Amino acid sequence: MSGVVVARVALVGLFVLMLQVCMVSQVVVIGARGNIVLLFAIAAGLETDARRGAICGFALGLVLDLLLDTPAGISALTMALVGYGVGSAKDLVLRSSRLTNLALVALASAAGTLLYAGAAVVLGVTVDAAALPAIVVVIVAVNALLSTPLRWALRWAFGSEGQTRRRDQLVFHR
Amino acid sequence: MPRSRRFGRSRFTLVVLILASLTILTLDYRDTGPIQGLRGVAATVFSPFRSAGDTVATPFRNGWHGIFGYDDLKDENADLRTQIEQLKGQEVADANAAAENDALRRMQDLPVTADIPRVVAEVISAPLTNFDTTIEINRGSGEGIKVGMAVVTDAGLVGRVVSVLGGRSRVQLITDLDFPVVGSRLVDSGDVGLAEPGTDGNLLIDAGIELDTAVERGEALVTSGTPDSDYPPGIPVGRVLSVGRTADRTERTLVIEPAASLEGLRFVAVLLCDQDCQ
Repeated sequence: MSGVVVARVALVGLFVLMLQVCMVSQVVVIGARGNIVLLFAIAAGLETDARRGAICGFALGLVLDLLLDTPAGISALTMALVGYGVGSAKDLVLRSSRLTNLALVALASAAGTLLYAGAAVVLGVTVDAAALPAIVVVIVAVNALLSTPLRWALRWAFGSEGQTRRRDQLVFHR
Repeated sequence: MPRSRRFGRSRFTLVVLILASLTILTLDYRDTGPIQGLRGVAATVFSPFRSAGDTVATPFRNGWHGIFGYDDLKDENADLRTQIEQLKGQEVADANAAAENDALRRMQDLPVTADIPRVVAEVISAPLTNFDTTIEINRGSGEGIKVGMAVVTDAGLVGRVVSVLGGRSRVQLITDLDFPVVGSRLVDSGDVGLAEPGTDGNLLIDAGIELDTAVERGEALVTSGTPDSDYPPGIPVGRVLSVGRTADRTERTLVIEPAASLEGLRFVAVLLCDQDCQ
């Protein structure tokens, strides 16, 4: 990635983090908050490829970890895996459409949240399992709602580097 | 680039990132390395952005709460009006009770919360994610804040300081599922139980309250000040929401609603004492 692309992606990442801290985390719906930092990893995977999705997820996840009191590295790990998973899953999709992308966002948001909860439990953090369904529903809804604008922002950030990896046409790789 | 080579590169990157994450997790778990320092740096660097973002976001946030929380606000307003009327009547009686209480405490030479020095702090960050139950306040080691100190509002116990980063501190809320038990005393009966975080943001006591102790719904609990409590005595903990029995039917179980409202906290006070306040 060139320096300009890194700077633009970092700018979008910072904006996402600020939005999470100042807006999204303050709005509690059915006892849960959204998580658009996770969406950043997902959108990066969708807009580029598995490798860049993983790097973007890891980087912003690590910054988020440093702002939280949960074990540092846990968001970085789960978001790297989610970014990689989305980037890889995108390649398996026959035709990339708005609906399949939205389904990928929803699936990855749910999987990422459960993965985080599982990792947190393994690392000794107590998680209220009864609250998980509401958390997953809210995160999926918020991420589905905001996925399109964030993808536009990342499309601008990655510029031509992202477009070479994007697959909006009918393709099927084996 | 051939697809197989691209995949190989992706996998290699993923493995490197996983190893990096595990290294960071290990360093943080063992409390070694630069993680704590980096946390302080991240908090400092992010602080101006956070303030700017807060300024921009506040009108939107208020709008959201205004639209979707209108009914709640209306109900809350009605409740508060009722409470004000009740409190007006209680004011005179309370003043008399407080004077008596002060006299009794002086005679027994007990430390009271009012005597404990405190630092008032502004909450600069609410919990950021669903799995984070800490808030950040704008006072730190310079004001004498140390890990383990109790954090309160005028309503009661809010939490405890878990980390101090220069001019800021992080506070673990009392409802965090990993919050250490709080020795709590029933105000009427004087029985002491250990309150631990339960579900739905409430606390739970399932040991220490005798079966023959009469407990009413709404009865208040305060910190016990006994050796099993890390906090000064007399801080309101909450009110009894429901009363039950343990499985072996030997003791009472209590579900307690925290006295302090933990949503939308703006200002808190840190009690500048740790073990010496017991």
